Amino acid sequence: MESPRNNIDDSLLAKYLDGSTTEQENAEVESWIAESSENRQLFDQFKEIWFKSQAAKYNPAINFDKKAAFRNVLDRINEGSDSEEQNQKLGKTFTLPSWFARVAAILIIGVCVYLIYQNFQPSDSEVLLTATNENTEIVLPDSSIINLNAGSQIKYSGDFTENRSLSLSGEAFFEVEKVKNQTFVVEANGLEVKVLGTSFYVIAHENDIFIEVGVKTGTVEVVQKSGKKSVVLEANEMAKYNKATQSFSLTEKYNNNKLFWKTAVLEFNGQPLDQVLSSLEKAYGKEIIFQQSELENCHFTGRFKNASLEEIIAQLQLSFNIEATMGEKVIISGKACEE
Amino acid sequence: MDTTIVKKIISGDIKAFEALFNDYYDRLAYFAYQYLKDKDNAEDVVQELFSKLWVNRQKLSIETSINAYLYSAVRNACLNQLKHQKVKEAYFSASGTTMEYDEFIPNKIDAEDLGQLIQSCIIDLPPERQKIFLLSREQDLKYKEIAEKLGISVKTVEAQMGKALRFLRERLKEYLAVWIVFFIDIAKYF
Repeated sequence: MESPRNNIDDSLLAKYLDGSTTEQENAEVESWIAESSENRQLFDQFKEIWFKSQAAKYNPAINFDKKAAFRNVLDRINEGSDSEEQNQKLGKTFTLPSWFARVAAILIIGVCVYLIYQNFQPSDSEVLLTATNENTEIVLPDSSIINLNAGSQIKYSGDFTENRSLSLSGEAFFEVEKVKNQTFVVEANGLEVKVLGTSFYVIAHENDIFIEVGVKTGTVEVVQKSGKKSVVLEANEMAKYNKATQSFSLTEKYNNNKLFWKTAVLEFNGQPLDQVLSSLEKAYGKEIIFQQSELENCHFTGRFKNASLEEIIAQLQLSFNIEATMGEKVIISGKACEE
Repeated sequence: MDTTIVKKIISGDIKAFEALFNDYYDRLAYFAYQYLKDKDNAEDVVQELFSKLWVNRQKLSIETSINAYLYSAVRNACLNQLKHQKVKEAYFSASGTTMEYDEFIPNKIDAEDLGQLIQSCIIDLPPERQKIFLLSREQDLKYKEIAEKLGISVKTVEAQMGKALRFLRERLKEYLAVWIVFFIDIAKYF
């Protein structure tokens, strides 16, 4: 017996309503509708929303501050309870009606509950952590782990378990614990990185023009705070945000070498030598001078763990026809590789 | 979910109250904004509703959905405010404005209000989805045109529209299907 097909893609129904379905798709949608009254009802509901939202005049500039609004509500509740008691005092003082006692008790309990609740929620407090050593590991109240590079800073409020958001200045790698229905938000220099449970790095120095977000596992949404631009990154993807042009570029991939400060590992898989040297420059914080045109035809593959810059340069000298002068700066010369 | 959250609130669970508030604040405030055309007044109406809801929670008896209850309470408060404005205007100006709102004030939200209900829920769509939805419904653009305009694939537009329609349908189900009569005891406190 053929079982009725209950499922249809919402996107196909949406396409049908747009009138852009092919004849074959039309037939598919129409036979699905005819299959059951549930299907017909769902379709009618989609259709109703479709037509009722036509020529909607929605104002996207309207935004509300929920947190501030809730504080106002609590203030009003407290004010209300004060004035009711006041009014009562102005009236007869010898007997209070029993309903008043009940209401007052409820209000007092309510206020107490709120005050106790507030005391257990140090929501005004703020935690500020600055890493003085390279690779400082921090375990957050929700068990997420952050590795902070030296000089980088995170800040979060005392009610972090309720509201998983923090701000970052500098470089960090995050391993976020999954909490149902609770996103984890990293705010960095005007970008917001939103995740559920995943691992990723953020490089956001105040003086850099670029902010980099690279995803190791899971999915991450990067949202521009001021405007409405956003990108969604999957594992092994990286977004580079240009603060000046306020635009994202997705051409580069997730790069483990950016976590050298944490892992002490550098890995190259056939990258041109000029890129290898740029990575070394960043990883060791030492300027390396070279002529790009001479090196871009050299490709290097290799993995270094806990190696010194001298050791790596020595290895490169063995692999290619280059000279290196080590000093304040590293100077690379020589006609390395011919096309 | 509806009845449990109401029970929790009645029993004095402020966290449940805060959850309800967070769930509904934006859409109710936008709903009020459609009537009042003033953001601050709109927020004021919704904040007043929630503070009274908490203070009077012991007397709360909602026999249908909290959704219909909240929306109708907001609408009634807005219409009242508009009525007072009209009265004031009529009093202070010799022109004598007509009192459109002085007639019957409906006490219930129903399918008639669907257009406004939909708009209030648009505020909770994620930004990209919201943009696409508005280009389709407000600007009346075809998916192909939207895809070209935003530099994304037609498939993405279809998927986003499917999700938007599904989201609105789940939110507004009760107004789309059968409308159930409800009764609000607390209404007299507003």
